[in-house]
Amino acid sequence: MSTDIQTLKSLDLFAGLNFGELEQIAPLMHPMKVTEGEVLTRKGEIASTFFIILSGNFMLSFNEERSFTLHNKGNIIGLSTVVSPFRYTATAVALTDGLVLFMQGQEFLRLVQSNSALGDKIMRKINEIVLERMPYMTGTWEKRRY
Amino acid sequence: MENLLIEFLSNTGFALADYRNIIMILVGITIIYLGVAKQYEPLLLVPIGFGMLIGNIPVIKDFGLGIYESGSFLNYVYYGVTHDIYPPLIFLGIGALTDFSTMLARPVLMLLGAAAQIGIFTTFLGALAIGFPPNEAASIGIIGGADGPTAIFLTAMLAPRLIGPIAVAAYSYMALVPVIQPPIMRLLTTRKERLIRMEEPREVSKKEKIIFPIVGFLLCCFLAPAALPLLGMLFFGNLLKECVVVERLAKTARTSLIDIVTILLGVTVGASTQADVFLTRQSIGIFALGAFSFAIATAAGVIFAKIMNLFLRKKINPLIGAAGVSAVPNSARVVQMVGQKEDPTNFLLMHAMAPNISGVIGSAIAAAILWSFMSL
Repeated sequence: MSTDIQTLKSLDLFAGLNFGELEQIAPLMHPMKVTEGEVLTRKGEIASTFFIILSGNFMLSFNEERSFTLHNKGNIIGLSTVVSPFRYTATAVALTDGLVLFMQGQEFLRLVQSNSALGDKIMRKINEIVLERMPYMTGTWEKRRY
Repeated sequence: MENLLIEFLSNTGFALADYRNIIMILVGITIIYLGVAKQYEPLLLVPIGFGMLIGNIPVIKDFGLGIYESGSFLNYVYYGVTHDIYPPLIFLGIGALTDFSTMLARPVLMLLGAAAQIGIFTTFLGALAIGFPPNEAASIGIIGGADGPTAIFLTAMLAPRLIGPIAVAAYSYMALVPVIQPPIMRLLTTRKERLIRMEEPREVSKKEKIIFPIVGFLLCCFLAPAALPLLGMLFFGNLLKECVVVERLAKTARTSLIDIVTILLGVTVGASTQADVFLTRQSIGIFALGAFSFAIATAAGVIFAKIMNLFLRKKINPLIGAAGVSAVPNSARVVQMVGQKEDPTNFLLMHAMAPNISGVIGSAIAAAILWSFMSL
């Protein structure tokens, strides 16, 4: 089952994309219900799928017991599917029941091949998110704060 | 009754197996492991790995089971490999999937796809020098194109008995692009070069995209007519994609058709690696020369990009030269990965797609040239 364009349009990751581009992405993004306690990604495993949260609360656990929660619509889990190191850098667990969209890495590669400009746009956006998260992932945010 | 039981037991795989079957089964399991656990080109390695298991179950000769026994199921399916049916169909799917606009936006980058083919011809000469006959040397050289269907296409024409090792080598190196290419790319470039940012490519009009597969086909096939089956299907597939009015056909070509053919090709290529055919000293030579060919192709692309920079006003990042081998889009993704390690805000993916796609065309033309020479 693919996702409708209106849902995609409401997500930060796809903001600014035109209708034709969203139409290409829609069949690649699949909705999935998630139940409390379900593990979406495991730290260290090959990153094969990324998830976009539509509803629910999720905890991401990084190194040295560092973790944070994601609960906003449009937050992404499993960014390493698209960018280096291509292994999950956190374990993601659902804290509540919820709904996510997911895309497999193989599908993303096909998208890059079939429309590299669109693949590039998505990759840039994902990279922005990675750079934003970096201080939290590495702990430099805490050092800055205290 | 006792005789029947003894006969039954003597016909089981346990009784018929020798150490070579076990070695090949272990190789098959390793390939499945690489596909599943490491996710190196799983769509290719999983069918090939399982095909290796199928092909190396010892069976009674003339029982109509083995891939090389006429009339067997595997033999019928293998017909598509030995008679060059599958590779053009895969090219049709690739054409229907691939966006050529990055290449059209900056045609000069096509030269990188051409430069990477140096690996093919260097290895051809190397294989000749160490004693392979010309037809086999040509088939081994084509591994450097990092294009499984092209390697199978040429080998089926020139050296059919080597299809197994050459196809497995070609697909293995395609899968190992993220492992093989980065050290070569880093070795041949300075940090300053890896930091080069490239300008945004211009927008390519719809009209250009529709005209390209027709003009590209005519130019390439007038230049190298032997590439007709591969490039004819590639450009036809691309026309289906770009002209929009036959979207149903394009969708079938890039999804169901390519997937079905990949399954048939992967399983039979794997099954063709029967221990008695595959485990030879020649196969070791093929794997070694294939690795050499692939490394030279990567290096040639990078070095050629550096040479181009001597003449270009707007410099190109030489890393994208490595994408001139035709493992699409993995090679382009590796370029992006290596570039981003130096500067996380530098995006080379789209630029690398240009030589990457040119590499597909380039390796098909190289195969056609070799085939033409061997047929003289």
